[in-house]
Amino acid sequence: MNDEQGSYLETEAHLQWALRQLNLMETGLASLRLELHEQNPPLLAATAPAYERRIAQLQQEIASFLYRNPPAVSVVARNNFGTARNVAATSLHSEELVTA
Amino acid sequence: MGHHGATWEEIAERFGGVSNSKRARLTDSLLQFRDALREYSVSGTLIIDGSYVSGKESPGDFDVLLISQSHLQERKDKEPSLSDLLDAERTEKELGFSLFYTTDNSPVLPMLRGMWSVSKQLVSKGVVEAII
Repeated sequence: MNDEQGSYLETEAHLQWALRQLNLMETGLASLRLELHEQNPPLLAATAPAYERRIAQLQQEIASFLYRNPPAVSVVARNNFGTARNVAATSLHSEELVTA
Repeated sequence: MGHHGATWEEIAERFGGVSNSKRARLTDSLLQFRDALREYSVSGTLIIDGSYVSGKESPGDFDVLLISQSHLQERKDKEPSLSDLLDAERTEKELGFSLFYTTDNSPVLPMLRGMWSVSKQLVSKGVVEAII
């Protein structure tokens, strides 16, 4: 994490931010892999570690915060259900498009 | 707040710091990186976030998002290679920033562009955007 963001999560708002960052980083990395895996493997090998390291940092900070604040696990659960609902809605929409 | 487009002259003037300062060294690193990208004919945008684009006198680590074409070509007459130039570990160790790369036609680009404009306190904040 860059030093302006700081690496220490102290509040549930920080946790929300970290979960969002983690989601964006994982999505960004998945997209990069998809785009460069066949087209430019050396470039993927060079650029993916930035995402991987940031993902690992965020995972560590989130785990550490949850260890210190067990009730905040509910925030993660809510966040997950929100994501799951969005994925389900997207899949449903895709199926509708396919069957239409 | 949000993304502020800036020329490199504006960046150097606003964030360059006094000579021999850490800011000045980071600015040199950024300009060297930009020049190297130009030598490879890499076009696109750099989004700069973190304490470098804040009022901090002595900035620490910061992030740079490179948005560029996906068909980047190596040039055999160039050293280091393009992959080495964009190597995430090298940029962090030698240039002092974390480099994230995404293609300009990536479906997740809008999401990534927005990623750095929200602070840990979940409020909107400013980042600087410069054309290579």
